Amino acid sequence: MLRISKTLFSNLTNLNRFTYHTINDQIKLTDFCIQEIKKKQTTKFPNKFLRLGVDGAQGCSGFKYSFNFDDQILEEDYVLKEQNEIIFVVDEITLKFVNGCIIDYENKMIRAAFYVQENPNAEKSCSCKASFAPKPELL
Amino acid sequence: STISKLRAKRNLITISDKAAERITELMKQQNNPDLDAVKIGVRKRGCNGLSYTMNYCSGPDKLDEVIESKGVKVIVDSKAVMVLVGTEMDYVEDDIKSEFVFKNPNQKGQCGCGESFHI
Repeated sequence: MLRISKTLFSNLTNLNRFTYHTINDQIKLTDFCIQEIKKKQTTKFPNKFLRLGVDGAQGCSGFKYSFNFDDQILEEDYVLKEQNEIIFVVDEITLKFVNGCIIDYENKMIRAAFYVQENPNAEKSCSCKASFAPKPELL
Repeated sequence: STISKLRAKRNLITISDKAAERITELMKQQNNPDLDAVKIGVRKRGCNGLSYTMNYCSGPDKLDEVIESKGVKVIVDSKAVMVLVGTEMDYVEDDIKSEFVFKNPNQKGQCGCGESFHI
């Protein structure tokens, strides 16, 4: 995998020169989720974007979603931009598992967190929305 | 151990500094004099049987337990008292999420996601 070095391209605006896949309708983010990403970008994570991944063999349903703020883009990544700024990135393998999903942000008293709201590729989901079991044809 | 549990009733649950800080902040945000406490309870949900609930609340119902600690008032739902006895309530925050967590000595197992548990 080719890693675009952070040191070479320290500013995300440089990434505009690269060709990468864009997320069209494969993944949808709710307005509230976009708002929250932008808020975090202006306060805690300048020049970073939200990345979704899936970790195997974790969580009660087999695959666990993982969110983090990242500043590196790989060649196989799919990127979502909002007003010419990258807000969300997912890698090719993850996309296969989450294609068609909706990502939301919940802001409740007990918990505030990003989560995958609906994933059509899941055969069974943990009710805590943190993990899922993919449909067998995906494996 | 029954006796020690009864004694522990004095501090049915403990509230960490971070949790107290966050509750204070939440109450301030609400800015509603009618709501002076948060109520915690459990309900049947999640893949492991039970999950914690938290809500604003104006006062205890009959048989609810009231804990006043570190400047905050936490009410434990009467139905959850036996489940929550000895629990430590904490608040953790990382890059991605912020949440209240409950270290509950009565629980025998929990969901891999940590959100639901059984006793």
